Amino acid sequence: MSNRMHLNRRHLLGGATAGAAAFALAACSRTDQGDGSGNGLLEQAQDGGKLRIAYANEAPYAYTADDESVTGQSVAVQLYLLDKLGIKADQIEWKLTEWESLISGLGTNHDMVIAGMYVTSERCDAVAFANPDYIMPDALMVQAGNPGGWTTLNAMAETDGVIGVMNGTSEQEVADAIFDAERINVQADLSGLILELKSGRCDAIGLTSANLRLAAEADPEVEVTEGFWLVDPESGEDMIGAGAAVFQPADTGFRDAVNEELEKLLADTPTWEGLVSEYGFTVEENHPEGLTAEDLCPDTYQ
Amino acid sequence: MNEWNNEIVVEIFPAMWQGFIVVLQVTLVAGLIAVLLGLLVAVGLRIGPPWLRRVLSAVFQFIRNTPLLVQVLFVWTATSYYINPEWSAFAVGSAVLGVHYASYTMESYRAGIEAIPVGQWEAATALSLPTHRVWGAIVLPQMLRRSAAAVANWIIAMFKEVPTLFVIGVLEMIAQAQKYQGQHYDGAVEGYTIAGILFLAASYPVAVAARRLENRLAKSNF
Repeated sequence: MSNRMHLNRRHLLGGATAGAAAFALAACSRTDQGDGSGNGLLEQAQDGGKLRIAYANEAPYAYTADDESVTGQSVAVQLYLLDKLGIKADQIEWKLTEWESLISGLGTNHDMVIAGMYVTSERCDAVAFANPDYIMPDALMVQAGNPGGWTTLNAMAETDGVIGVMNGTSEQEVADAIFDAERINVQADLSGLILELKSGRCDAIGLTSANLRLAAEADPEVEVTEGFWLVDPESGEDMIGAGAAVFQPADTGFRDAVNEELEKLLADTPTWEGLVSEYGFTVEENHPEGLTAEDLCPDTYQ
Repeated sequence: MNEWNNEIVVEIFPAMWQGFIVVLQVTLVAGLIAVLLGLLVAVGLRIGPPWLRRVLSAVFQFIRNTPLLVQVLFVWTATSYYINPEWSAFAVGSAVLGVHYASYTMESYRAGIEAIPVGQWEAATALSLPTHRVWGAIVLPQMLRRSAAAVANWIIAMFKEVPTLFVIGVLEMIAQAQKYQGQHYDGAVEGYTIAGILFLAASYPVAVAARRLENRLAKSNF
């Protein structure tokens, strides 16, 4: 289940509700701290205080490992940045939190979110995003050699190809909008989809590239195409999946300090790769290359 | 965010209804298979040659004693790889479900046949009635009345197991609820509640009718 959730985190319905709640909370803490620059939390943490960080147990971003430690791509990157700011791992109090409560519990249950959460304009309205520490394009899984020459979901919709999607994902949502119903093959999980692909009942599987690559690694009968961005069928814009750490709007000072360290880290590609490669992330596909949170939500960024 | 939300109910209902129609379609197809195949097997076990009885008995014993989920996945995978990948999940799923429940209905039919007094069989033999007359005029009419309620209950049980077919991609109600949840991060409580209510709304009247039938048949002297 958790595997399925991260595929479509960009669609947090009720974002408005969460937004309102988070706004109310943010407003409170602003008055509490009485510090417009909002450096209170950062200073407290740098003085050795506790820092409460929420995660939603989603591999490969932030999850509880077999040895009970919290790990993942986003955790590795953010802990590195916090360490650079003088905040040690033992100061962190991890809060395993339902995905739905990551934003609404900000300020009460936890001070920061490390969950690889996608930056969306709805969420920017409610929280202060750091800059993305990874991007996650989509890809197609096809039969080895790509006999159909499939490239993207939209190009495929123009042909008579059958697309395989997982139930409940944003790939399914896009496919529903651009494919005829009889040309969409829906399965509950990726292994079911791969069986459909091999038996020829679908021509390609659309999903986030990291998941597809992980599944295709040990299977010579299939391969994964180059990454591409899903296109929002309503606005016609690319749906860029880029994940970042989340702060309260009152803690923008803290956020800016993290951004500064992140910029240094991303410029030092080998170090970044060293932190994230074990979770299946690659420089070619997942490096944000200067993409900022403000780029992703120009109207609502705070 | 996790509280009951009537707007979600309105939003999710059309998809749930669509899923419910699929459940009814599967029930119709699989139900026909379960009712007819179960009867054929029950009769075959009574009058077939010894080798046929042994084979039927073993096959249906096997089906009854392995999980439906495993059967669905196995048959779907096997037909995809070795027989015909063009067969739809709906067809394969309905067939597996129907055959699985035939292994139960045949037991109810068998009980109905065995409840017929030995004297009637002896009388039929004494009168030298041909086999088709024995079954058509004497055994089946009594046996069907005795088995009807039990078979109806198996069909209700089968109806409630249709969501199992989601594992091979039959988009029934539970799949629709999960689709909504996946895309909206909400609606779990609403979706599953609607599914429960629709299942109850469809199965309860049938269950009551089956109970009435049972009572009526118990009172009549046959």
